[in-house]
Amino acid sequence: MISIRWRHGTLGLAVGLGVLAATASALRAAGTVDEVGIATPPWEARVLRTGGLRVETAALLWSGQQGGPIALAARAVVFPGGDPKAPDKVKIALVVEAAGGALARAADDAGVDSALPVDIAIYALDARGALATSLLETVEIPNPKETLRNKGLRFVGGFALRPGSYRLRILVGHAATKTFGLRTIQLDIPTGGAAYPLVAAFSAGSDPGTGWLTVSSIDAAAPALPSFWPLAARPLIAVSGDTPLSLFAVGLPAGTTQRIELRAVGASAGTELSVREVARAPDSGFERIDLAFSTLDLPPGSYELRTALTGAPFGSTADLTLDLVAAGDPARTWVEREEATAGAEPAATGGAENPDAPGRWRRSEAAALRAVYRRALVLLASGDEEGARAAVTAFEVPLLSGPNAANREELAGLLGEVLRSLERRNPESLVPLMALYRILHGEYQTRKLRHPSMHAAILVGSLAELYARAVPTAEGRRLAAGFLISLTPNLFRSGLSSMVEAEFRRAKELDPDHPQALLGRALDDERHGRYAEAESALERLAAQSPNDGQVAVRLAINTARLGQTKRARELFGKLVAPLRARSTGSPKIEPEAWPVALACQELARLEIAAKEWQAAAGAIDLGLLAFPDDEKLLLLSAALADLDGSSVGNDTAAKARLAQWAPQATSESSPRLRYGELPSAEIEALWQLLRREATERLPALGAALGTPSGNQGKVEGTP
Amino acid sequence: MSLRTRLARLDGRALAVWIGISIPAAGLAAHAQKIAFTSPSAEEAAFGPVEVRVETGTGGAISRVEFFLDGKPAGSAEKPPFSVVVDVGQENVEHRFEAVAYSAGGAAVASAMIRTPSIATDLTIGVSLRQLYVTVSGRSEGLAREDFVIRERGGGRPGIVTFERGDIPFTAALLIDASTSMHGARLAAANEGARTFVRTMRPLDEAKLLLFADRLVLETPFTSVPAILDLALSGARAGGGTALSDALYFAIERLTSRQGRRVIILLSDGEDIESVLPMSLIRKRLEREPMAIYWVRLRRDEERQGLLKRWSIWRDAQGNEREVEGLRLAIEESGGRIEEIDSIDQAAAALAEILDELRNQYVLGYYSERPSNEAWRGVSVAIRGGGRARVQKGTARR
Repeated sequence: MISIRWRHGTLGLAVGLGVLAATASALRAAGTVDEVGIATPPWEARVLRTGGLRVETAALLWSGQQGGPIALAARAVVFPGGDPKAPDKVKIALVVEAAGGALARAADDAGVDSALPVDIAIYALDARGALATSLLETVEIPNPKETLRNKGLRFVGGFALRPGSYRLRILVGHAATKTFGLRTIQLDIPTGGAAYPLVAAFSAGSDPGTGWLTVSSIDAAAPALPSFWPLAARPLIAVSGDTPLSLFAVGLPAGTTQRIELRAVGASAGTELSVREVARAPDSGFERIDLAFSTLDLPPGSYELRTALTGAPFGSTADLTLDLVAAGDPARTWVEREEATAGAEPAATGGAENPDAPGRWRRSEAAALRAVYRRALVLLASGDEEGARAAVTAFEVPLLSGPNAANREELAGLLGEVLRSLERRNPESLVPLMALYRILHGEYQTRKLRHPSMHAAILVGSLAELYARAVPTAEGRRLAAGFLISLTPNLFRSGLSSMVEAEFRRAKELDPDHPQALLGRALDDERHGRYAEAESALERLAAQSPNDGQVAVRLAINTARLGQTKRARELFGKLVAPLRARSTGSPKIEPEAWPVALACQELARLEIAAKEWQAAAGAIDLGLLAFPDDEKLLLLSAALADLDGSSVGNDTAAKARLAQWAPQATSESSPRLRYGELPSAEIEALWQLLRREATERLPALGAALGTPSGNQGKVEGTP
Repeated sequence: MSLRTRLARLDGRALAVWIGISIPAAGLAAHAQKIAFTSPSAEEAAFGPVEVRVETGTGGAISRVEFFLDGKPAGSAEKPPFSVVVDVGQENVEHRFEAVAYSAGGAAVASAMIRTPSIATDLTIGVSLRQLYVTVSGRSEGLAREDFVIRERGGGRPGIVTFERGDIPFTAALLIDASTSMHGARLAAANEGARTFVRTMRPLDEAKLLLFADRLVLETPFTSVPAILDLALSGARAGGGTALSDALYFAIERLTSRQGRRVIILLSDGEDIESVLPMSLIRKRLEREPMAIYWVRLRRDEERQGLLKRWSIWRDAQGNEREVEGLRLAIEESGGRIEEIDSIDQAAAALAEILDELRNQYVLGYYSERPSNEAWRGVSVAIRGGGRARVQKGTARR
């Protein structure tokens, strides 16, 4: 079992981080950057585009639960002047800092000596909680143990956003060991005409870049960067009688004064500093105010720095977490300081800019909820599936739908305890629970309950993996894979295609010969242009089901895409062969024969591409005999008449037929649309089978709960 | 002065064709009437859509006028001004226009006839008047015939035979994307934009609406009557994939039989996925059937956020890019353009802008100086004194 240490507890189920392989075509080496962000070969690290997120990663980002063993700090700066590509937006620059020691240890744990992929995912959620934009990239760090020794990883990127209030959720993770850190910061972008947020920056001398492995985002814009960029997310300054600080503002009227307060992290009150203004000057589109103050009276430690402008027609403040160290302290960055003082214990990175600060449950509430949950499962075991659904929904949804992210973590921990306990007593008891959460997933999605539906999907996945480990037989793995696959239609309908792909991939890992997993993976491969991989999966499927038309037409199409024209013709030929035996005027082929219609279309297209006009016309005519109203065949027939030298029949008739054709009122998906859809009929059949399997295991659930099972009912619900 | 206005003018020569033809006794009303053609002019050759109009005398009430073109019925009008629009085609030939007036009792009371000439040319075989629909940018003032220069690829600088500006009747195919991504308010707004477009058209303009998803979903007849669209669109639902190239081919085929200025206006937020016809084939078709394509392109949120997928189950990224580029080229070569919008609410304004552009186009008629057997006749238009002319890049031999 994979366990992950959360900062606030242990989530026992297999909730972790993983990232898909980076898209090869999108790879671009970014090189390392020096203190001012300029790439300098040879590269110590490179930035790749992350292919996509796994379910768990997305769930973690959505959850907003902060923490994890990789300590993080982050800052965002709003640039004035808007984005030339999107005038209604402004550019946001981001700097994310991650503790290198934790990453190096993670690499050590995983035995990674070569290149360590570190995934960086940033979600910008608007005031309604909707995803406004995102940034998903992977930093590949060669020789990580050496490279990250006594260093932190500093990632510099950005995006554009419309004015508004946002929460930036920043996840830095290591796929190999499934460790991560998650941090949330608040970002407020004023509407046009209002003041831009202040930026407070310590001079480069107080935060040398040498303590960082700095990398830039692939998509980082390269505007004229202000002199303070890249700035430290969490500066480290030495106690001094003359600490320089610069403020950067926009639209600043004359006569403003500054009020600067330092407050020790965790303290209730702070100290207002005596500040001396040194200079004011324009700088990179901002107005810069250079200040100096003394920190001689302050003890070393972590502080919140708040800067406020007074005398301005707007209230403008800048908040910043910083570390104050004694003069002569060898630490160059907050990472080094934490490594030196806190060892492996993750650093606190919250503070003033912590909008998602978790609330806590009282222990007594958790115990009560555990009892409620157990009672719901007893209902399920007794055959009252509807009652169980209602009970689980009643206590889960309020917890999962609320703004308090801690609830989701606590709930996952609580369920984890119950489910592990059941698994220890009888792993078969997990099967009805998988079915229950599969149904709940669909119900929550129908009700547009985002967090609950995500939670239910994750639970099905986690239970499936738990079950497959507990019952490591071929049957056990196939059953677990089946439940993962059963999630995909709902996920697909919700547009969560990356999650669909992830579920098919996990299912195929559990059961490499599972027909729906193979088909799902083949579809995924096709969508991403991996035609050879798709063909390989389809070959295996075709060997399992030689009479499956859908598999056959997919195989033929992918074979054609790979340039194996002769073999593709043979495969298409087998599909359309039954049509040759039919005579004109025969009854139409049933809609289930869509692969045959598709075979006629694709064979015609293949022949047109090869300028084999006669053969193309033959395929079209053959198809039209069986599918006289097939729009695509009529189009191909008319278009064939346009092609130079293609006069192979009655061109005028083809045009006339198209001229007379009128759109058909039908609820059937067209063959070409069906080709891109999940094999929903097959997955529905699989789901029905899984429901029966779940019903058969209700006694096992009852036994694991220590109650007699009624086993009267069955697991029902919306597919 | 527009072609239609010019054709409709009542000058001395046209008055000269006032004739009163005796109708056989059986059909003659008690008081003889007179009718006369005010359009077209007997002096000018007729091409494409032509307004045919008669004036009636003052002798009594006429309740209906029937029109004939070259001896064949061409329509009727039941109230003044008695006029119909007739498409006479692009052939450089003489035409005979006849009109018969009827009284309220149904008796024929008068008739008139004129002939329009063909244009005299040295070589009459294989020569046809070519028309270029030119959109001018960078010049705010109205331009004259002399301001334009037509250049043919391979040499040739033909003279401008006919010159008009604006208000030339057109036939449009409005292609509206009704795929799943246009579900709900987006399709409703797109349809409303189409209704507004048709409502704003002039009486001689006509449009057909084609709703498409992964197949053609709905098709109306060519009409200038908004109520016909209302009827067709009631209950239209979005759903399915996007077969944009196939839909374009449909539009081309539907417009092929129409004469005069032909326009395809595409309103879509997507790119092609399910088509069987590649854009290369569509472009080939357009070379032979010149018609301008306008694409009101609704950018999706994902695209604005840089998250738009550029591949599909039917094409990899490269193939998809090829198709997108093919569509852009087809539009450019057609003399049309792409109008990008970020919200469906902007669709009506974008369509209105296109309509405005169509109304301000210049129409240059010329006879090609290139050999008639040349496979491709490339053409460009320059403007003396600066400015940019957008025009279809040429035509292929049919």
